[in-house]
Amino acid sequence: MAARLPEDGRLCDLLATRAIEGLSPAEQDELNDLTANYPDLDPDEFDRVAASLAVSGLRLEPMPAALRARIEADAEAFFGRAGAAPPEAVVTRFPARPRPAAATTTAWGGWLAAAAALVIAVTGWLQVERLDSERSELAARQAGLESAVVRLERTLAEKDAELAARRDPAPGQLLAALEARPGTRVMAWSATDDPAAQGAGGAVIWNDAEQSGLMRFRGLAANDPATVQYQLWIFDAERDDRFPVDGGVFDVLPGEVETLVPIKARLPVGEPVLFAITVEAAGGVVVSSRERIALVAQPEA
Amino acid sequence: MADSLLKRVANGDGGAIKEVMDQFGGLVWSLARRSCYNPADAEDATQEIFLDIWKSASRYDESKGSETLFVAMIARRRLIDRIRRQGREPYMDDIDEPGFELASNTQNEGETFTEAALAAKAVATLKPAQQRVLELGLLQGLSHSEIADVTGMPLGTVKTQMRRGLIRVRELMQVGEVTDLGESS
Repeated sequence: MAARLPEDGRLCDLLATRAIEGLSPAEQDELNDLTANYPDLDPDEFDRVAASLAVSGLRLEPMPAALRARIEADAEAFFGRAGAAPPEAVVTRFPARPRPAAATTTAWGGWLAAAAALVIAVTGWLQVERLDSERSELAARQAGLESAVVRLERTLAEKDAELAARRDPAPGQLLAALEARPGTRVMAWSATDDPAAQGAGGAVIWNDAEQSGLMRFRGLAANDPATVQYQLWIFDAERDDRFPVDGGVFDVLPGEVETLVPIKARLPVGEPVLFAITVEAAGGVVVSSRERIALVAQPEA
Repeated sequence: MADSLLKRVANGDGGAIKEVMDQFGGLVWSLARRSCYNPADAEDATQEIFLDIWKSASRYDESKGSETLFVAMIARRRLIDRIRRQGREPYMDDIDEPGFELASNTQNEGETFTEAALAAKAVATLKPAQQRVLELGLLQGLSHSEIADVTGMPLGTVKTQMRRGLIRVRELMQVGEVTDLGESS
């Protein structure tokens, strides 16, 4: 049996409060001072009682498998480093992951860069000579930070995808919506001599008022996104034709019979006079050399 | 006598990690889900809790309670820390969830959590006001001031009832009185 609690109301109050909702730093200091007067006191008793009650009535849910895998990886990292692992090796344990490529990722880039910098800073800190126990503790914290960064990247990628899905309707929905709106124009593509466009056709569907449009292709050659991508340019009568509006990059996948691509104009388009598809290096370009123009479409005069 | 699971973890037994996950994964995850606003937050919390478990495994003393209780205690502390760190209000969606009366059915993935059942039986002997504040504080995660708002009790009364309730539950669990209060299994 545990010893009876001392007749100290303030001590009991603090222990109970800690078990229920935690203590402020000042309260924790006070508790530390009080418990020092009772060397036989088991300060965790209230926490155990509270934990017993918190678990009673708990509806157990199975842990998600992906989470379990991450925790087991954390454990491997923690115990793997708790020994004599050199701190310099820590960073290499988590392979670099590709940054989320969704549209809003750049908005988070600064934050992630700061987080990554923090990881690097911790790594540098680890390089300072320290006692083994301290080093292990820091390595575990770093593992937690690295893991948190990876999780945040994953979460941000998911949120980006969710936001993009909300912001951008599916191409089929967009097409139907555009066709139902007044002022929507359909402009047929004309293929050039570029090998990618042999036998290609389709149309641009564009609505000036909505500043929204969609491209439809048939027969446009599939591209290897790792090397080249298609890019749309919109020539605007209200802009210098040396600097057409970037309408976004896109891919044509092998085996696609028809490709629908929403137009993502980076700038407002006043009076479109020409839509042109160029073949560019992967990722697209800011200013096209116009060496490979595959398709063009013009509004009827 | 074989080492406890947590002792094996503390000794670096790699196989024990998976056993800990099998045995306590659902418990920790469920506590985190009850405390956190959303699944992503609960996942972060669960990862933090298990890191704490790995670090604290060597401190487990089987004379003071089961491993389940030890794990639950660490989980609660970490969750309380997170709530305080985030400066947020406790999660209150489950304010109408059933209370301690489900304790006798609490299973920890096949293992009956004896302490929980005893604690629930002990709570059942308390005055209704004490039962209520403990339920709101421990099951629903409300702060003292929020319990005061919900129950209409003065803050000082809430604290007193909470403290007395916890002290009484602790006493009942230690002297074994609750085993005579209808223990049927």
